[in-house]
This record gives sequence, C-alpha cells and structure tokens, in this order.
Amino acid sequence: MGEILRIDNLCAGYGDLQVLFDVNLHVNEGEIVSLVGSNGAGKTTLLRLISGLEKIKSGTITYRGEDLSKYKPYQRASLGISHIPQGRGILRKLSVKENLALGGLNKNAANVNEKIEEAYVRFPILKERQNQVAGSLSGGEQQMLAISRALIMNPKIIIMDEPSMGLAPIVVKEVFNIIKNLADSGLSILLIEQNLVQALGVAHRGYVIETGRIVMEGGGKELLARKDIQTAYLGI
Amino acid sequence: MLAVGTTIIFGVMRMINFASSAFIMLGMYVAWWACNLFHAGVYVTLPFSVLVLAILAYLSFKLAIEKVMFRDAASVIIVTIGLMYVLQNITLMIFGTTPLNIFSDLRMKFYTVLGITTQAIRLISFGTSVLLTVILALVINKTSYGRCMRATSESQEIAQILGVNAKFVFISAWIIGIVLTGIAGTIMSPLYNITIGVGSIFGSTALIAIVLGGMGDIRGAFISGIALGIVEALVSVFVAPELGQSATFILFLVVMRFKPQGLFGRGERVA
Repeated sequence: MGEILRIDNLCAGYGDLQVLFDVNLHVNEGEIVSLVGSNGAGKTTLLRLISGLEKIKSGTITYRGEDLSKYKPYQRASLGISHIPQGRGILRKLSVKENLALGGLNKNAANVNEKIEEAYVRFPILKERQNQVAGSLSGGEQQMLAISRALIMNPKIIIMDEPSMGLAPIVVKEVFNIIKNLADSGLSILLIEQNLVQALGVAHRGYVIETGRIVMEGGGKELLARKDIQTAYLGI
Repeated sequence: MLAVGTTIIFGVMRMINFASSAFIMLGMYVAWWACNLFHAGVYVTLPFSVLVLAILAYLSFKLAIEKVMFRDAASVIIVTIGLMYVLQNITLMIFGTTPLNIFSDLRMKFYTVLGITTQAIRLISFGTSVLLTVILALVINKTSYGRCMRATSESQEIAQILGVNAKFVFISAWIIGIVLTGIAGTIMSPLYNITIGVGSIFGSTALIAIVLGGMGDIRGAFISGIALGIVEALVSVFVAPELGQSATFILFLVVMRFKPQGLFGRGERVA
C-alpha cells in the first residue's frame, strides 16, 4: 500500500521557540499510526502544521505526492484531510445538525444528507439531539459528533488530537473501537495520544516523540512491549 | 439599522467597529453626491449609494482592517477609531465644512400611524430596517453562508479545518455591516444637515442598543434599538424633552445591573 502522508525533516516553532526538530514520519493507506509522547512534546503542533494552522519553518509535508504548502488551510479539507482538533473542535453554539452539515461544506464531500443519515444510524443519540446546541452534549457525545462530522467530510485521512481526552474509560474504549473500524474500511488515521496503552494497542505503527524529536518508531504492539517505554511512560 | 450593521461585524469578527458613525456620515455624503450627480431623489439613487459604500468598505478592509483582524481587541479599537478620523477628514477635504442638505418632497410629508404622527422618512427608515433585519436574520440562520458565518464567529480555526474560507467570511461580513450602516445614513439623510460630525448623533445610541441587546445578537440589537427609541420619545413627550436621552442611559444601566450579558445574550454551558 502506498504512502498517503509523508513528513520530511520538519522543523517548526512559535517565534524564537523551536518546538519540532527534524521530524520524519509517514502514514500508509489504511493504516493507523499513533504518535505518543508527554505534554509539550510537540504533538499538537505537528497536527496543526498538517492542517495548515501553523507555519512550517523548514521541511516538507507531502500528501498523496503533493507538497501541502501550496494549499491554504481551508483548502485542505477538500483534499481529504480531516482534522479533529484537541478538545474535539465542535462548534458549541451551533446545533448538532448544523455541525454535521458543515462537514459537507468542502468540495470533496458528496451525498451529504445521506451521510448525515448514516451518522444518525451509527449514533442514534445524535439524531435524538439534532436540534440541540452542540455545547449541551456530553463529552462522549461530542466525540461522536466530531467523528461523524469528520466522516461526512469524506476524508482519506483523519488526524485526531487526543481522542481520549476528558472521556470516561468505557467511552474511550468505544472511541478506539470506532477508530479501528474506520481503518478497516480503508481510511488512514494519524492520532496523537497521551493514553499509550490504547493508542499503541490499536495502531499498526507508532512513533514516540520527546521534546520535539522522534526518538523511537516501530509496530504499535512492539513499542508497547518495550521495557524502556513501559518504565518511562507507564511507570511499570 | 446602524446597530444591526455594527452587530454583524462584532458578531462575526468579534471586533467592535468604532468607525460606524463615520460610515453613517459617509452614507449621507454619498447620498448627497448621488442626488446631485443624477439629479434624482435619495431613494432612487440608493442602489448607486450601496455600490459606492461597498467599494469604500472593501477599500477600508484592505487598507486597515485586514492587518489587525486576527490581533487583539486593543489594536482593532485603535484602528477603527483611526479609520473614523481618516474618513471624516477625507470627507472634509472633499466636501468642505458647509453643511449640506438634500431636498426631498417626503421631508414635509407626515403620516399618523397608531395615533403617532411621524415623518414619512422615519417610516421609510423604520420599514427598511425591519425588512433588512429580517432578511439578514434569515440569511444568517437558514443559509449555508450564514452557517459559515456563525462557525467562523465561534472559531475561525475550526471553521478553516472544515473548509470555510474564513477571510472571505470576514471581508463579506465587514462589507455587509458597513453597507447596512451606510444605508441607514442614506435613508435618513434628508432629515439632517450633513456635516462630518453627523454620525455621532447616532453613534452612542447604536452602541447602547448593541450592548443592551446582547453583544453579537442581531435580533437583540434590533429590538433594543426600537425599545430605546420608544423610551426616548415617551420620556421626551411626557416627562421633559431634555431628559429623553438620559432615560435611555438609565434604562441601559438598569438592564446591565440585572442582566449583564444583555437582554438576549445567552449564557452557555461551560465544561
């Protein structure tokens, strides 16, 4: 299977503060790749660079063979990149239905109404609450909304920032099941997490990032089994 | 209507437009210019005025607003206040200090509606603002473009992730807001001596109407604008003419004491 996303020698930062140093990674089609690391390691920045919300200092991000830098942030949705930002990124003042409809805004999306119906079948709670403002949903429901909206965008790759954040353990499990199903249906997923066990457990491959540098890479379960990772991140 | 114009700019761009009184003044000057250019009435030349105002709005966005729109509130306040002075002084250079007048047959026409006798022009102005407010509310709440506006207003980053061209939304909101403000000026122009300071008559009332209605709430701005007008008129007639405007401020203070988010401002679930 071919590469969908490739990052080469990426450096970036805010003002004088450099956050990412020579980051290299890639995601294959239909693959789940987890990028794990502690707070402040630069994970969120990396995702924001992919969707164009931050500027690159040097290095390249290649998406399906094309340099992404020539696309403005709002054009990247039409290319098939769907970013679920930290905190889920739902629009709290808009209704559930309007949030879903916004997923169908980009040029790449098709059959939007059909897809909204599909989302309602997948998560009946969203249908029940379609006219409520999205800010009134619970954390788990918001995550379902965010995932549904990302799918309506008709993406080829979904990049997720901490899907487990603020969710009850049982809901986290459910979210990761959904992620697995999505990859089985051919979608590529790049997710970043502090929840190592879940993130690496579900991933085909994983990267460990420490203070802006990728320090390890390998198969998801393989990384999880490593002694040094267990001591450093799980305290076992 | 001035209030609605400012509200849409605040509502979408989270920026308070202190230049709105300058644009109401510009609306009047443009009306005067158009009338003399075409030798026709204010309302006949309205489409032309709208076009001129839209161009002015675009230019002011490109030259001033674009640079600060993603910056902090203070820069925006300073830039819009600066914009106000610039616009006033350019107008001064072009049209001079002599107050201008637009002659309109409607000026001397009076109608009695529900026992209140009022000038035809005020009726037209009221009718237009109701109509434009309704249209605007429909566009914002029911159309895909309006949805993008509301999305951008809440978070321009999330909007961009979803494929909304936030900058386009900003430009268009600014232009719509300015044109609405200008139209208010154009319609009212036959009633006033047009000078560069004419906008300040409306400026403070409009700002109060906006805050009273709940910042960024279009319906609120409109309703409170009418309420302020009624209160001012009632107090002027029944209590004392000079207390009319004070009464609006008192109403404002009372409302702010009990509902600081404005009459229609909504609280939101935090968490």
